[in-house]
Amino acid sequence: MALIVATILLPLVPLVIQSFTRGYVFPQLVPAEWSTRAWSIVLATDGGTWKALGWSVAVAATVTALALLVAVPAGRVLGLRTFRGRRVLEFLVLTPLLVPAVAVGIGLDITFIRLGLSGTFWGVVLVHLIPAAPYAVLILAGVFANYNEDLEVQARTLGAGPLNVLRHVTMPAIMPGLIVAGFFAFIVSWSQYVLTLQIGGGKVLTLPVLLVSTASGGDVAITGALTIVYALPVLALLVVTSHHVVRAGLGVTGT
Amino acid sequence: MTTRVDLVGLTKHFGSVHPVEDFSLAIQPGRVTALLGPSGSGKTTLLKMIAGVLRPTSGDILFDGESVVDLPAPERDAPMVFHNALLFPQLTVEDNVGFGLRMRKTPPAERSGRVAEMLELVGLHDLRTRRPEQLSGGQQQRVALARALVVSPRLLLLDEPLANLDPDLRNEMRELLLSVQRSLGLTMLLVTHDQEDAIVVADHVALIRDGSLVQEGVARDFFERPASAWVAMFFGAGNLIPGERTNNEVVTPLGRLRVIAESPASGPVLVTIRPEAVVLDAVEGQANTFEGTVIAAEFRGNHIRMQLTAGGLNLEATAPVDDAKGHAVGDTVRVALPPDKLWSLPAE
Repeated sequence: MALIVATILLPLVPLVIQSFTRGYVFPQLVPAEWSTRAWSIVLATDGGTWKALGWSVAVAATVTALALLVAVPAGRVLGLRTFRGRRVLEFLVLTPLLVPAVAVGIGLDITFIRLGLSGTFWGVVLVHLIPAAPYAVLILAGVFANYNEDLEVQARTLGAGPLNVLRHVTMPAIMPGLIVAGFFAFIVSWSQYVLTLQIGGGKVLTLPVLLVSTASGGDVAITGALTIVYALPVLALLVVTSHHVVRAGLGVTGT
Repeated sequence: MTTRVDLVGLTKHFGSVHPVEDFSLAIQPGRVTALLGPSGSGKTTLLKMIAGVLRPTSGDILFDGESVVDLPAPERDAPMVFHNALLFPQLTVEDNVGFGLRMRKTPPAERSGRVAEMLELVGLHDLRTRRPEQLSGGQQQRVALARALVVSPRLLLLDEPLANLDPDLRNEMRELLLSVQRSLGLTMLLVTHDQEDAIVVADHVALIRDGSLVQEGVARDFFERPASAWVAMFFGAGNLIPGERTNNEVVTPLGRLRVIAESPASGPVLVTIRPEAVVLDAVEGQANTFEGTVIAAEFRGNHIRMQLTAGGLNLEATAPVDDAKGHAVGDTVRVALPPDKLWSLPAE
């Protein structure tokens, strides 16, 4: 556990140091001058950080919700049913992960412009679903492969209607998988840069978009501070869900 | 509550697969009826139609004379108990048993009273706060039974509830089913592929093959008066002798054999007799006697299984373990087939 924490947190240490310096350049081992300048710029209430954080959270949360909405029924069919062409369908679910995102983005950009989705929140959400949904579907297919449908039959014959079956049988059984699938969908959306830039057209300014443009500006202190702002929510989410990620690990290989 | 259940021409088709075909059966109120058949004979499909989780392609299901085909499963009051207990893993024993009452919005006070009563009945009151994974297989099965009983079912559906249990637990569970049935007077339908379960637990047995009813009656009928050669073989009759019947006599390779008058069929028939009814040392004046040769004798614990050959046919018989005569392989014996144990069947 300590090792896991170290691997995740250690790379952030230089960033923290970097974010509190002024003019920290290569030959120096220790920063010549400490400063909170970068943080006061990054966290300024009228700065772009909060807006970008808002965009990122809104996009990622919507993507997560929609990915799960698709993944539960799709995962159920893939995990529980045997039918002709199931393997092919499973492969088709995976294909968005095999094709480079840039290629997909360029192709979709033209269509999205025509549909008026280019440069909109929903356009970005839709394009994020392309890489995010397959992860969610595959994880839930694994969860449902280990799910016994007779449990639902049992509940129904004991008097449970469809909503009660969902609430008392299906949801408790798939909850760990749902959390893991949601976590993956969230991270995939959270880390999209190219697709957001292509479809968002500079109007949907999520954190990665802001971060890349800041980094190319060359101010290491501000870049460091912004990177920490970018990484912290995901780390917090990882801490909250880690228990389920470990537990559901076996389920994924069950496909 | 005792409910009479009638299945009328029940049929289920899944595309070109026809697991149940024109199945009719009257299930008597307050009795245990066993639906017996080999695996894949359509038993579970039938049970699911009665429970309301599968809709029949055609035919009708009547509870006390009223059709329930349009009644959804949650309102049918016909809970199933499966071979794997299927307890809800996140709920305690108590909450599992109370599940059906919670679905019916029974007030908590009444609920806990009835849950306690049912846990007492299955002897698990001490384990009421445990989780399913902390219970043994037999205990889980008893919780599943209590969970179904607590809703005062009109009909209790048991799908191979004894299949996953060790012999000791199996006997215990059989006893429990019988005592529960006696104390509550429930109508029960037990699905099983094990003839012993059916014989021990059920008052009435219905034998199903390829989705159709083959024979129904009390257990003894299946042994002594099978409806077909298949039934005879399913119940281990062992001996099937071909012949030609006129009146009460059948001409067979073993000679003329007198058979039970009311056994069906005439003309080409198969004559059947249970191995344990074959007499190995016939006395003077007995009917249906002939000479046979012992070709195998196997010790089977409580009896010796004998293979005989006579008139070019093989016959199975049993002998007591401490048989003083000590029939050995190669010995010639005088065999008698008592006419009141010989049943003739239509040749298939």
